[in-house]
Amino acid sequence: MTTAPGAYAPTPTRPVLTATGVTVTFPGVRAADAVSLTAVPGRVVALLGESGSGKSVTAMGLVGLAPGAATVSGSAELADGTELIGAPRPVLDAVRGARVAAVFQEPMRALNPLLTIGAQFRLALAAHRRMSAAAARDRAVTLLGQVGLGADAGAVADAAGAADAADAAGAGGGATSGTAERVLASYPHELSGGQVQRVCIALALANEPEVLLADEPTTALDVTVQAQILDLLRDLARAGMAVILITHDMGVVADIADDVVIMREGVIVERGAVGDIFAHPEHPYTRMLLDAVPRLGAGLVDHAVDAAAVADAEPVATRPPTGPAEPAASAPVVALTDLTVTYTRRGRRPFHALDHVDLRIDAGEVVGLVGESGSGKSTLANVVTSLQPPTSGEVRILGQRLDGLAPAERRRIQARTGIVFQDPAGSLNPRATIGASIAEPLVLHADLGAAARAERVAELLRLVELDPALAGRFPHEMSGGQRQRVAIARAIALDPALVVADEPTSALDVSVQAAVLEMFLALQRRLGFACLFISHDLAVVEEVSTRVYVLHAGRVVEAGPTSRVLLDPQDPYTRDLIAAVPVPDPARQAERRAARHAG
Amino acid sequence: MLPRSPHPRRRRLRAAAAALAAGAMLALSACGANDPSRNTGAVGTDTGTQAPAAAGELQVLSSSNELNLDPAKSQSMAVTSLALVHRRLTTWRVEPGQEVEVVPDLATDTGTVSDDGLTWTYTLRDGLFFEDGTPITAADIKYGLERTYAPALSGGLTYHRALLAGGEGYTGPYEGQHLDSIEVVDDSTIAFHLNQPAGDWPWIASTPAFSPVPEAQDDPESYAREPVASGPYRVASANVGVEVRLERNEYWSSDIDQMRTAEPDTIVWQLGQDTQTTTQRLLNDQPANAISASLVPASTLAQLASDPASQDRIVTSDPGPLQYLSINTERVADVRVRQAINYAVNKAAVLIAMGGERGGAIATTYISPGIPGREEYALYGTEPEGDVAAAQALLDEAGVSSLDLVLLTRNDSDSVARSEAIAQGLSRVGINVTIDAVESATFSERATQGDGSSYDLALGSWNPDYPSPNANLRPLYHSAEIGQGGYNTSRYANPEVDAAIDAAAAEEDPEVAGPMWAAVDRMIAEDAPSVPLAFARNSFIGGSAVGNYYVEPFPAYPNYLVLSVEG
Amino acid sequence: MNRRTLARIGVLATQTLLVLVIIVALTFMVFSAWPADPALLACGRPCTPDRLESARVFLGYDQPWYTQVWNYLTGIVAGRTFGEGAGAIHCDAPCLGYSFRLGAPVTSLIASRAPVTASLAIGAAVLWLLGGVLAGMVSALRRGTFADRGIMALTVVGVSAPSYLLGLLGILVFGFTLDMVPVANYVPFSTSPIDWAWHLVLPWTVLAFINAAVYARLVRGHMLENLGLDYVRMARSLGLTERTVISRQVLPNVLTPVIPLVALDLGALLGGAVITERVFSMPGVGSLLMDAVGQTDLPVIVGVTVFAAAIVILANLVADILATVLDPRI
Repeated sequence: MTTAPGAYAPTPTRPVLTATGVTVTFPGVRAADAVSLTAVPGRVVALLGESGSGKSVTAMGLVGLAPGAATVSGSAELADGTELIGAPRPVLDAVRGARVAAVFQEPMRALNPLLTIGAQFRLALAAHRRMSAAAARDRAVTLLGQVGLGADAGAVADAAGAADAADAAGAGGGATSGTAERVLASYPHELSGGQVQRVCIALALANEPEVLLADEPTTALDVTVQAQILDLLRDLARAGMAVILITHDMGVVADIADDVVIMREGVIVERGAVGDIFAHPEHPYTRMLLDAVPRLGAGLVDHAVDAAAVADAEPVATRPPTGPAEPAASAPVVALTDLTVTYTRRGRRPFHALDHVDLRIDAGEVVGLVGESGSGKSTLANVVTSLQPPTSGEVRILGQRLDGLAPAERRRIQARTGIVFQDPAGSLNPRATIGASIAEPLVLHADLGAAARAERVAELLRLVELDPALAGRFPHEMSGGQRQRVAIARAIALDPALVVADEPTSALDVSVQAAVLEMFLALQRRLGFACLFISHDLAVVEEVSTRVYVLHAGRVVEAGPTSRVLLDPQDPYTRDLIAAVPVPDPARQAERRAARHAG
Repeated sequence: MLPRSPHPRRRRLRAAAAALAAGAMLALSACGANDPSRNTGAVGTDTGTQAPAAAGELQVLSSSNELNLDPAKSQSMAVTSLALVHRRLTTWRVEPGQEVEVVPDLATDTGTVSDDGLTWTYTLRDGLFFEDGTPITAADIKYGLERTYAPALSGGLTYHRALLAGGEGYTGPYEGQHLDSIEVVDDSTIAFHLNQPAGDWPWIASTPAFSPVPEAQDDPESYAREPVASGPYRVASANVGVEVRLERNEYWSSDIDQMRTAEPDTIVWQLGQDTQTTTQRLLNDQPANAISASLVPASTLAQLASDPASQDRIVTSDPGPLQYLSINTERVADVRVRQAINYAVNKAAVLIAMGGERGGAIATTYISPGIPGREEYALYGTEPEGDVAAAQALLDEAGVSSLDLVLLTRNDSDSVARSEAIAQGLSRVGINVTIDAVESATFSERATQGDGSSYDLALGSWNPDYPSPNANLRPLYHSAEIGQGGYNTSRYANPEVDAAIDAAAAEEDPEVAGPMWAAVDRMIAEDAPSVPLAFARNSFIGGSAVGNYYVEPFPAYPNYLVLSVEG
Repeated sequence: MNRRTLARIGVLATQTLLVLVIIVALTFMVFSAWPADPALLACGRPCTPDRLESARVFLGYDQPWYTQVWNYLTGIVAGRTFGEGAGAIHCDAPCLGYSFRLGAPVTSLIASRAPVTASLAIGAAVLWLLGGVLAGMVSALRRGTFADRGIMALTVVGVSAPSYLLGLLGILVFGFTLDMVPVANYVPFSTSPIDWAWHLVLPWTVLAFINAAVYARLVRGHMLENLGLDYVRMARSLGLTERTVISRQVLPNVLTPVIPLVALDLGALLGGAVITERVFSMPGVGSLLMDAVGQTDLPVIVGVTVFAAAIVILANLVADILATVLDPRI
């Protein structure tokens, strides 16, 4: 084998992979320009950038895994002098997996859906060595143990994913009583996202590579799972692996990177040790990125302030409710009492998506709803927008009970409710101009002439800080941020009393997210609508909401003023959740991590 | 005025198929997969094509899926398939250039009739045996006829049922009842007692129903596949819809059968054969020992006209079966208008649509050539293109200036082409024809069932079941044949004509009956209930090894009884 | 196959049975509205009104339509008898009717012809699956090359050419001009396996060509889509050779949606490859139907239709089961 057992303990300073002047071009576009990079055993190099910065194609291009249309030039040399760029496929096949391996952003899509995990291990192992089925199995069990899916580790390691996994897995049940054997017999869809990413990492480790390319390995995962995967990657680096981590997340970088390379539009703008970059960013772009990151606890005077003191404090002055002067006097916009939604499917035990939930939103108030995937967030949004009838409990919107409402009344209430979804590309009709999309609720619910409608569309576009001239464009002609502004414009077209925003900025780059959030908040202040703001990102929720509900496995585990809940969480789950969020500050993140592990 | 074809795509396909076939005719055929010589002889090493053929095997390639050998259910002629297995009391002598004649088969003569014309008596020849060696007796003939009354076995030719006394309400021998009007005088003598005189009786005795059936071996469910042979061949194997194989019946002797030469050792029906492909195969002489049971399609005939090679393979009859245009007399009631239509039709154009001179000849009478008693005459002129002036004059006289008529036709391409030619001709005198082309089943339903209110004109074709004017004129023009499945699609009812038909039918002496029928023909023509368009020539194709392959105007089918195979 | 899969298959089978009963009833009702009187075939010549009536009674066409449907349905389960006494005709269960013209129960007619159609359809299916998958794979892996464009051009021909025309063309070129293969007839497998295959080569090829075109396009599309998916990138990143990636990883994913489709197409063909059978003079179920339509042999038409519907529904069931078995996610 090419990899000697000693490869895990090389001279720490000597790079195992050196990339020089790597340039990636697509027909007509230069995605990366003369990027240089080294992978050093025991160290994590973060390749940081926003979407379109070229970070991913650069890293993947090193081992010939850039998309087919890409042309890669430059040099990527292994320690023994093997040149990878332009190497023929057999050379690459010998290197991939055995010396350089990769994990990807969407673990579910990275595994073959039709093969058991065991079969995928057999294939991965067979690619580089001849071994018996039994030996391959033993090796796979060892590897799964290494990534925390061993005989007993799995249960602890992925408790957060258990709620949804238990439902999805059915008989599989690897999440709760998972042994490596059971994982090997499972198909990917029978495991949770975190488990699958562990499997992917185990597969990547199968042939003891020297370098691990990790392409946004935690972006698709819940925050508590992310923390575990990051721990795993750090452990690997400590054991001597050279890790190249591709990410857009400052918190992730602060958590585990040793060195940072910041890319923008295909060019490296700044590089350095992680502490230096965060402490003294030199390039304006780096500074801008760092500023744009929503920080948990930001806006508070001092992180060191006694939590108890701020718990009672008023929310920060920039975000008071500006609706009616006395919100409490009028009926709440949303009032959910003892709400339960149960899904029953034949042959399965009933699944409580929402379990005795109480929730209230007053007029003009922005209420945050936090939870991980499978917690029931989206079900709750559907109930509030009357897309999902409750199994039991009471739902009052604008003071009226939804059940038993005449269709006309229901329509009237729906007209007073705007919705913004996570993925604007999916929620806008690709064949309609954005003007037509914005006007759609006006056509349905408002009695306006064509001219008045056009005027209203222009006004709405101005409200979301877009040029009214864009009304004739189609969604694909706009950027992600612009599309989300359009979606917001449509949501407020009928001057709603309530806007439900379901992860409205999760799909956006951090700098764009900041601008859209700012605009949305300004809009809310100006128009005074109440808002249910759903997010997995605690920092974002903290920035926008006055009160917050924490949802876990269909139950509200904690509710209260945002600052109180985030700074002084009472429920253990909330505490885990907050502790798991990496903060974009290497020094503080190291403390937090230490505290988390100690706890 | 072209009709809107309901199946333009299908018609295009047919045209394309025809074009392909035409191209194929020029194709040279090498010695290979479809070479008949590989089939004869080297059976063991043959990787090829047809089932191994012994010398003296005749193949009949049939587009039909059935070969029904139950005499009660068969409408087969006296000289085709069924007659190879079953003999009847009488049969036909069909020889080249001679008018068809009724001759004795199982009987010693064509029947002797009593003075009152109501009793026909037949004597069986000596030495007749079924395939299992049991003698054929008069009782077997009686039983064979009786079973044609059973509901389970209807569907065959049943001209006898209207004539045999006491047949009403009789439902066959299976419940132990018998029909007394069929009298078994002794083992070799049988007498038939009729309810009216019937001059055609000797012809009727040649229909399949007059074949002997041994009661002991009759299973109505399987007799069609496992008949008991009285003719020169017996069924060796019958695979429904696929193949029927006949082999020699050892108990048959040529000494007491003058009509069947029985030369081939075996005769094999290949069923369900595509006519287009079959024609092509036989043009290539593959195999040489086969004939096609189907007519050569008109479209192919037109293309073959210029190919001299085809002359060796194709036999064409003199003009025979009548092609006619029925005029619905209930809807076109004015005889002058019907006569005008007779004048106005352009028969020359219709003939072109039939494939020209190879397709037939222009008709002016209703009785077909080849049928005894026919006389040639032309009541409405002899101009092939029609007489527009005469037609116009009649229409003027009738005070008809414009006329819209619906022409009902089957929707096959040949029928539609003929309909278009008719419409074209009639348009010359201001008659506007709408062609209503329908599926064959729908045509039958609308023309032969119900009240006939959905058409003014109908395109038809007639080949009688036996060569008597009675089988030619009665079904088409007797008032008893209107609706209820009858073929009088002109819905023509004239009591004088009915009486004349009945009288001629009752006359036993052919010499006397002949002129009577000729008079009936003319009498009908004066009322103009239909337009005789043409007498069709039927063309058949066969391989080079097949001998005695000829077609007479009647029956307009090859005489299977005398076919031979070289080698 | 676990308990859930079995339960799903059970539900599917029950649904199938129900649909089948409804189809039988519907088919029978539709054909009861046929313009021609089916009793005419059993009437003989000359056909008199009383003879027509007795034929109707014998065949049960004198009954009200719902009685006819009921008799037909019970006939399938328990068999039927037409007429009475020694002259009666028995039609054993499953009785799909009795063809008066052919003098045989429709069930036995279909049974005698099903082997022909099955030989034709199954052979063609094997050929088109192999051909289609191979062509689609080559096309996808050599995307944009001459081979790809050539295959795609051929598929257009295959998709759009009517089988009648292709069949005749095949007969003309390979049968008559080149004289390579026989042009007509069917030899039972039991008689001579070599002759059986030899006679079927051309019809197989024609049918396969037409169907393979669709599969080639389908496989090409799935293949290109799958090649762009993350799991392929992952597999490559693990050092799997391209051959292994294609054969062990991509191919199962490409074939999983394709195989149930084969079951469906095969089912449609097993109900009678009408035109192909006719062109090649193959005595299959399709040519039985075609002949019956030409002769207004209603019992055969109804029987074959019910049979074909049953086969198609069964094929659907098989396709569903295959999908369930092949894809662990379903």
